[in-house]
Amino acid sequence: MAQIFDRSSNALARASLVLTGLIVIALGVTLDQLQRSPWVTRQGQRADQPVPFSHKHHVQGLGLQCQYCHVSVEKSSYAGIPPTKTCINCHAQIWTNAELLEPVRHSWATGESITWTKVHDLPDFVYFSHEIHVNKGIGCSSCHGRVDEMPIMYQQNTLQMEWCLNCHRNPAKNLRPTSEIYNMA
Amino acid sequence: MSCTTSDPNNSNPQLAALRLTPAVNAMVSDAPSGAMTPAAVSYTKFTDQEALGIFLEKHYKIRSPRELTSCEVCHR
Repeated sequence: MAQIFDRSSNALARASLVLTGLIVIALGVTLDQLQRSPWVTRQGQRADQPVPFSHKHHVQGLGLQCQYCHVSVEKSSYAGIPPTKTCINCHAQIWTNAELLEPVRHSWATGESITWTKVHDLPDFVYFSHEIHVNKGIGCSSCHGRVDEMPIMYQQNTLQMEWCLNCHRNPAKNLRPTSEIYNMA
Repeated sequence: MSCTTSDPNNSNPQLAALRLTPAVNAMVSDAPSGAMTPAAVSYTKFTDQEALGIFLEKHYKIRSPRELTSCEVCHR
């Protein structure tokens, strides 16, 4: 009986299987790396903000403490975004006509909140408490990076579960005395 | 009765200051010049993060990694 398939079909079939396996593995590795990439995690991306607020200027330049604006960091699960009044405390007297600060003046005049873009945004199914972390010796810079060197705020770390677990599995490597929590170094 | 020279409750004195040198003691205290407060509290210097972290884990009563990696810690 004549053969239907040429002898080379054996090799072709084996090669196809190997190639399919390699494609599946490569796809898995690619997707695995993709979900850790800044495209997914938003790590390092500078979001558009209504006001280009510079933490570098206000913290490193002027010496403002973190808690001056983020008042509830030691008492609550959320650190808190300051009300417009906190900005107006100073900017009612300095840079009063700056175009950059028009959204702040508008907010103060109308009572509407400034619509900041949240930089460190965890999924809704995650419970995170600033209070417990801050009071137990985790510094601000451990999670948020060198905020005092950021002209525009960005997310330094991935904030993925893997990253959180790295610390939860071994907290000792990130602990510091509570007197050094706000030390950005 | 002077509370700086005798304890009204006859209990162990509570140390409020770290150290009083004889010169300072003479200026601020009516205790006899020979009386000295106990030695300063001990100071431990940590040279690496790991040692400091282990110390702070105990000091701040941080939960164990087994407890910290439990699901309900973050997913309530």
